[in-house]
Order: sequence, then C-alpha cells, then structure tokens
Amino acid sequence: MKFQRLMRSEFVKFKSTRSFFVLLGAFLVMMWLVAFLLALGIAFMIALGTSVNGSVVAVTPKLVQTFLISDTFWMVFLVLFGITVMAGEYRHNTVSMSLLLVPKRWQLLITKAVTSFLLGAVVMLIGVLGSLMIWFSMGKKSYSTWNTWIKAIFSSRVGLEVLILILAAGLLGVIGVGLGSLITNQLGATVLVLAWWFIIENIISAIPRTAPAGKWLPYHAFMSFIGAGNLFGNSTHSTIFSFLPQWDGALVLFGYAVVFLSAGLFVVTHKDV
Amino acid sequence: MPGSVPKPAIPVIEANHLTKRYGSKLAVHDLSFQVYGGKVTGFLGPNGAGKTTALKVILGLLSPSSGTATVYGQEYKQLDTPLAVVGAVIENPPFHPARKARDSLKISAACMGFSYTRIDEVLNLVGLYDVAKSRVKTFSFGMRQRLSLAAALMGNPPILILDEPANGLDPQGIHWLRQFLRSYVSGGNTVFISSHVLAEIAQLVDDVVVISQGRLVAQAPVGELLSRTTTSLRVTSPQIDKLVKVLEPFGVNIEVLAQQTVLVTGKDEGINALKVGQLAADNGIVLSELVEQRSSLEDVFLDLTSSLPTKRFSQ
Ligand SMILES: Nc1ncnc2c1ncn2[C@@H]1O[C@H](COP(=O)(O)OP(=O)(O)OP(=O)(O)O)[C@@H](O)[C@H]1O
Ligand SMILES: [Mg+2]
Repeated sequence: MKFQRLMRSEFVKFKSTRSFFVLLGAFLVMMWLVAFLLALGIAFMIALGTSVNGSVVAVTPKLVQTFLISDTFWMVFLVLFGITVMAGEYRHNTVSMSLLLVPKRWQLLITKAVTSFLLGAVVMLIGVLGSLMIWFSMGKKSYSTWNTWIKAIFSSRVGLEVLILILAAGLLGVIGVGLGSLITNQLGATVLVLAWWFIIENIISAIPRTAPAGKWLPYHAFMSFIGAGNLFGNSTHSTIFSFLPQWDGALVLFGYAVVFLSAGLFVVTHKDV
Repeated sequence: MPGSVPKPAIPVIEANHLTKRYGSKLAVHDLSFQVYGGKVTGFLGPNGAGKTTALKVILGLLSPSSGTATVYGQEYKQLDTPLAVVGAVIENPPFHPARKARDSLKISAACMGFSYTRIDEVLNLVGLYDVAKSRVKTFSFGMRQRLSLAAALMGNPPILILDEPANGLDPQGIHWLRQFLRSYVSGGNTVFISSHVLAEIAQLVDDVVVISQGRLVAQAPVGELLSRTTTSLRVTSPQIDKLVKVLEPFGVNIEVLAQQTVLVTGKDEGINALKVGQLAADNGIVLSELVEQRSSLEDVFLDLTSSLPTKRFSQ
C-alpha cells in the first residue's frame, strides 16, 4: 500500500478530532506561558539595570539557549500526543477500522510514528518561534528589529540547538507512539508517563544509590540531547542535573524511540482486536 | 484480485480447520466451510456460537489458534488495498464518537486513494447524506450501523462480509438492505452475512453455513433446509388401524399418541391435512380429529443447533 496514502489517512484522523489539538495546544500554551514569565523576569532586570558579572543583562542568543532548555517540562505533552495517536484508537475501537484498512500492522505503526514525529517537530517549531517572538518583544533594547534578532539567533550556535530541539520533539512523539502501542490503555499509559516524567525519574536521579543511572533515563537523555549538559556542566552537585554529553544523549534518546517502537510493534502485531 | 470474478467452483472465502481459543475458551473449533461467488451465503448460529470470532479471523483482526482463513485463496493481510476487495461490517461499529460521519469515511477514502466524492455517494446510498456533518456520538445505533455499511461499500468491493448488519435497522432499512444485497450479488459479487435469526435472512440467502458452539453443523443451499421442514398431523379416528394401513405406503412416520390418536409426520410435500382427509373419505374412514402442525425453518434451525448439549454461557 502506498505510504503516501497511509500518511494522508493519518492526517485526516489528526485533523478530525479535537483531542489532538487539545494536547498540542496545551503544550504550546504552557511553553509560551513559561517563556513569557522568563522574559518578564529579564525585562525587570533590564529595567533595573541589573548587571551580572559586571555586564548589564541583555537578551542574547546565549540567554535564549538557556531559556529554551529551561522551558522543556511541558514536552511531556508530545509524549502524551503520541500515546493518544495509538492508544486512542484502542480506546474507541477505531483500531479495528484502521486494521481493516491496513492489515499489515507494522505499516500502520510506522505511519503513526512518522506522522507523530512530523507533528511533534512542527509543533515544536511553532513553539520555538512563538517563544522567540515573546523574548524579542520583551528585550527590544538588545535588538532593534525582528530580522536582526532572528539572524543573531540562527547565526550563533543557538540555531543548531533549535534544530536539535525540533528533532528531539519529534522523537518524543515517536516514543509516545511506542508507549501507546505497548500499553494500549490510554489512561494507564498517560498516568504512567506523567508520573515518570514529573516524579519517578527525578527520584531515581536523586537517590544516591540509583543516581548514577539517572542521566541514562529518557527525560535526562532528552535533556542531554538538547544541550542541558553544556548548560549546566558539572557546576552543580545535584545528581538530578547531571547529564550525558550531547551526542550521547542523542543516541540514547534515539535508542529509547527504537526500543519502545519495537516493543509496541511486537504487542500490536500479536494482540487480537 | 478485485474485479476478476473467479470461476464458481473456486470458493471466494474459505475457512480450513479454523480454531480460535480465547485462553482456555474454545470459541471456534475445527471449522471448515466455503463461500462461493455470485451468491449470498448466510452465516448462522445462536448467540456465542462463534460467528463474530470466525469473521474477525477471516478479516485478520484475530489470529487463528490453528487453521487458515482465506479470501481468493489469500490471507486478508496479503491483499493489496483490502477494503477494495472485501467490505466489512463488524460488531460494534468502529467510529470515533467525536468525529463527524463524513470525516470518519474520509479516513478510509484517503487510505484507499479515492476522491471524497465517493463519500457522498455511499452516504447517499445508506441514507445518511443529510447528517454527514454530525458527530457520530449523536447517531442512533441504527445510524451507526448504516455508517458501517457506508464504510464497507466505500471501496466498491466484490465481496461483503457483514456481521449482523440488520442489527438496529428499522423495517425500511432491513427491506432496503435485502434488496440492495440481492442486486449486489446479481452482478457476480459475493455476500457473507451473519445472523442469529434464520427467518430474518431466509428470503435473502442462497446458501447457509450453520454453526453451533464453534462447530459446523450444516452447510447447504437454503432450499435444502427448507425441504427439511416437516408437517405433522394429529389424527383421531375410531378406525385408526385402518387409517394407519392406508397411510403407511406414503413413507410417513406414525407415532401412537392414544388409543385412537396418532401423530403422522412427513415431509411437507408428502403429506398434509387435505391429503389425509381425502384418503380417509376414499376409504370410508371416519375422522373425529385432524389437526395440522407445520414446522418452520426456524424449527429446523433450532433442531440443528440444539443437537449439541444444552448451551450454557461460561468462561
Ligand atoms: N475477547 C474474548 N475473550 C474471551 N472469550 C470471548 C471473547 N470474545 C468472544 N468470546 C467467547 O467466544 C464465543 C464466541 O463468541 P462470538 O462473539 O464469536 O459469538 P457470536 O456467534 O458472534 O454471538 P452473537 O450472536 O451473540 O454475536 C462466546 O462464547 C464468547 O463468550
Ligand atoms: Mg457476534
């Protein structure tokens, strides 16, 4: 069956229910809200003429990078999105129709993984552009026009970081699809991911005995990939803030996507509907 | 392949020693049958007989524990654009409640590479055109069933597999469905339709496959089942012995009910009240009672499916 048709069919599914928009919308709202709060803080400092290490605070590409990395808590929504793409079909039994249309189940799953990757990436691009806009408007003193601002961002290393962020966001969507196939109970998978993202992984990285494993865990791998290691370095003693080198993080995150997707594929191909 | 109508001798759908277990529960047991082209074949059995299970195995939604199920000699999974070969209505119409009817069908159309004008055609056909933009959750059960039919017809497939499609349809809907399916097979297409009520589809089907407790109990043209219907006559006469002698050559079964009363049972064509009355008159026999009871197709069905020990629903 033509891959193009399968993709189109998945996009129709995406466009025709609100739940996906709610999830991705929630992600953008939270991302921009935090971006706004960060910008507000900086605007205050600029207004007060605060200086850090002798220089006056300004919205620089370096600062933008810090902001972007600090504003990633909400990316869990991209995982939840991926979960809904697959487990949502089981919840409403639309999976039978999907499998009547695409009985080779791996084709369905791969299509879902690719669509979720693309949608995750596109939404992240929108999110980043929105955040950049917010930071630009709050830090006008540093850059006179939007063009010079964007140029400054993308001619620096931050441009690369933004691209990486977009890739990583796509991978979170793929991990979600894998999880949603592995645990086809949508509510169960959602609760598990939320608990993991906000609580369990942090506990593991904080308990001295298990802390060394912390940086290998999914959320940490994601943070490592988007450059948290470069940012936090080893300046902090908290094990929660210990990360892998960036490209190791990329490999580990990619590994998680492959593992979850393969496990999900196994379950979906063996499960009766 | 779609379009190419196979020779009548080759079954369009075939189950070969199909067995499906759910855990320890045996839902379908060593089931073999064939469905031929250009006909409507009924798939009959009481609740829990395993009809849905068998159909889902044919459609690749369930994997068989053993045995095979094929369509045109291929597994459903191997078909290219399967819904353009086999249209299916399955139990519990699989639509997202928050999706509009038209959008639900867009998914299929996009997947099969059809233009969206085909959606309007099938919605029109099943009478849902006016509610195309309503969300499925606002639909009644019968409307969902119609939407299911629309989805099945989308690919204009040469084969239709329908699991109790008349469920929830109003009398007009059922009438329309019957007529539609009859004209559908007249062009060489194939319909395999399940039901737990023989009478409901007796006028529609050419052949029947009857199962009970997961096993095949009959596969025959519906005419053959019709010929299994019987007529029983309760006859009382002071000269009953004489009457029995007169009736014996007709190959009927005679059961003595009381001193002067017998129950005469025979094939429909063989015996009836008029004939017995005539015979009695011709032979000068006085009848004090003559009551005719015909068994229906439903009785044949009940008889077939109850040949196994009384059914109990259990885990
Ligand atoms: N998912 C399941 N898990 C366990 N047992 C099941 C499952 N689905 C069906 N069964 C059992 O398998 C048997 C066959 O069920 P099936 O749904 O195929 O019957 P049916 O002939 O379609 O009945 P009906 O006329 O009520 O639709 C039943 O005894 C049922 O309890
Ligand atoms: Mg059933």
